[in-house]
Amino acid sequence: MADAASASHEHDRKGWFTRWFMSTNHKDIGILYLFTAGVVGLISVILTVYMRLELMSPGVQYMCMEGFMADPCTPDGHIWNVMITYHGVLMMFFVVIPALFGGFGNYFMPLMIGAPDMAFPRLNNLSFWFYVAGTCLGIASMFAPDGLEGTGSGVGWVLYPPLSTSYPGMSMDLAIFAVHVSGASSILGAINMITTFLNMRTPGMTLHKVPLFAWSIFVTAWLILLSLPVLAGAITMLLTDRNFGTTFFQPAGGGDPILYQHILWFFGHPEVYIIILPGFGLISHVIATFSKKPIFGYLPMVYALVAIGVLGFVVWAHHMYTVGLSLSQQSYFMMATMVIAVPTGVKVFSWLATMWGGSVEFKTPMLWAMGFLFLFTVGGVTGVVLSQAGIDRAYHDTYYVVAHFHYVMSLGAVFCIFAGIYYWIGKMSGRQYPERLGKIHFWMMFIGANLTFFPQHFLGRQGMPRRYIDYPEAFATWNMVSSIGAFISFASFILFLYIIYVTLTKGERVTAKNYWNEYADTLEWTLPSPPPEHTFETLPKQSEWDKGHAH
Amino acid sequence: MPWHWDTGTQDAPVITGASYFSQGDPPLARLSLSAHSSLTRKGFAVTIAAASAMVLVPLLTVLGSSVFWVLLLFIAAAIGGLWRALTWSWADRAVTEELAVWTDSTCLSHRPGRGTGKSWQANTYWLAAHLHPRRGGHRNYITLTGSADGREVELGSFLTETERAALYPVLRRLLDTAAASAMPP
Repeated sequence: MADAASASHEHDRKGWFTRWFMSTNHKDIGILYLFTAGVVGLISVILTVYMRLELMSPGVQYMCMEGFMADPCTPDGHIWNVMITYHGVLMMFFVVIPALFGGFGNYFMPLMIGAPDMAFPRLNNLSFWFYVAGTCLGIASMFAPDGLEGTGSGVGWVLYPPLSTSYPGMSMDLAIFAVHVSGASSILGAINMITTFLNMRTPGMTLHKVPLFAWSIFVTAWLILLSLPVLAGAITMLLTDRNFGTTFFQPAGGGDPILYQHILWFFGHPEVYIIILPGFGLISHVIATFSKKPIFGYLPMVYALVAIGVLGFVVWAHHMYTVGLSLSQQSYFMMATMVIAVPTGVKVFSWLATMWGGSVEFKTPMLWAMGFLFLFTVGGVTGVVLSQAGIDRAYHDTYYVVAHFHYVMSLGAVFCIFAGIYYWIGKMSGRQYPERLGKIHFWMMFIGANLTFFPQHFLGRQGMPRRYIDYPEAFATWNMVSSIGAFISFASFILFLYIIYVTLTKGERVTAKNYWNEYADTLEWTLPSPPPEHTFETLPKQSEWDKGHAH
Repeated sequence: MPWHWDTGTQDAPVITGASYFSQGDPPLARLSLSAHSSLTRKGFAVTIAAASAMVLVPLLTVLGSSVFWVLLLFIAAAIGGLWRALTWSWADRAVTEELAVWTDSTCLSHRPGRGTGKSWQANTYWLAAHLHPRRGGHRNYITLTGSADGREVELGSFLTETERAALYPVLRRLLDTAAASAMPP
């Protein structure tokens, strides 16, 4: 047994290096994830700005063989391909998942279930540094020789063979390693989250009483655990095909490149839910808090999360309608895909019902949450359109698809990240953000992102294909609008960086434990802002988290 | 139950006579406390079964090709990892304490999830149990004093504050009757 605790709680002060580089504390690791994801996000966004600059008017003005903005200009399609590839790879693996799952998940899931830390704190540290190492490999890949005459691989984030297996240089191998290492990081993180959620809930917190954000992290962890090993297997086979002469995906040796697509999308479809589900959980708390009502339909919300997770595993081939699936395969994947609209509808309507009759307060996090709700629904509706195998014949690989997935991911997941940051930054840092600037940020981003992506629906309907550096003059107008939107969004991102700087250096000190209202009723709001290094070393009282009305 | 007596309930056994540690008698009462783990054995089985069932979906699609074996390798590693993590976490959190009370002696032993256990011993006559409403971040903190070496030890710091509040009066009464059992009736 331990000797009795002394009256004053003493902890040895850690140095800056020890605290941030050798951290095993879930809160510190969560913050590390958020900052790293922010840096990688900035890189990834800069790539898009360059792309939108090029697409602003027909013809190629910037990405020239002769160099940046050469005149006369020979179009350099390779640079373009590299841009789209690394924008995709970085955003899919190194920005959104680390921010929502790694960042907020690490910080708030243990707090919400009253656990003192993650189940395996040192494994948590390993996950984070794997993620950093993976990011470094990814960025190194962008600058490594492609074996032809440039640098970086222009194969698209899906790394389809035979292109990816015939690309000669080391850049491609580095990209595969980057995905490997980030996959290892996510799988270890997921096992850690699942164990924490299952075994470390405070006494009395049954599964039907766990806050929605913690539930969403749990479901996400399952998706990661079940889909990422499949991706790891697939890209390992790519690697051996490239380097050791195997023919898993080479028709010449009896392999099947379409099989790779099946495996990739078996991972890839759950991946989009991995990205958005933690956002679903987070938004539920934000909407309940600022509607000053408990969340409507707690249990249906939980089971909708689970249903979306399960259905996400059986719809993958709707990404591949055009590869030559049989009619019955296409019919099945069409129907299964449409079924997802049901649990998603349960969530959307429950959020609306939460706001219904509530005393809605338009603070910055709520603006982001409502922006998310509207825009995600738009993206969801175009998703139902795209799920129709017949219609997809026309829309496949057009800007309609680009618009669709950016509405759900750029406008869905990213709005969730911002909602989470504004909702919790006072809790995490002990300083509150400037409300007016936060609102300006929201409106800039909302207008900018809509201006960027809404016209892309028109472009897609007009038949503009994606993944090309140039386009016929007929598409000029909406491309110009789209580019202007992208610049506004980028400006809003710069403003966001400034807001973070101002908040962390000059923000108003937060003294209250719960600076919103009594409907922010999960356990993190019973702690000081910022929470002390060690939390819930003694178990919380049931009355602190069991509000009854919330479930 | 996070804590129970050797009666199998949260009611302390009724002490009728004396029982001496020094003579090798069985203890008058034995209190067992264990830390809470929210994952039950059934929950563990459901988790592993569900994970295994779900990963069959991609495996079925590649049945009969060489790709199957590569995927199986990675999937097996993931399921194995989950299995190991859950059992590891159980072991980590399997903290138990046992208090054995005789007329002339009281022994407290503490077994952490990992590492070596610790024990503490005091004469029941001198032993005192305290309930501190608030101490060092703990609420309703139970400590024991009265050992020859002067150490003050905690009891059941892994219980919730309401559980400790419920345990304390029962414990207090039992210790009093145990100490009094040495006296002739």
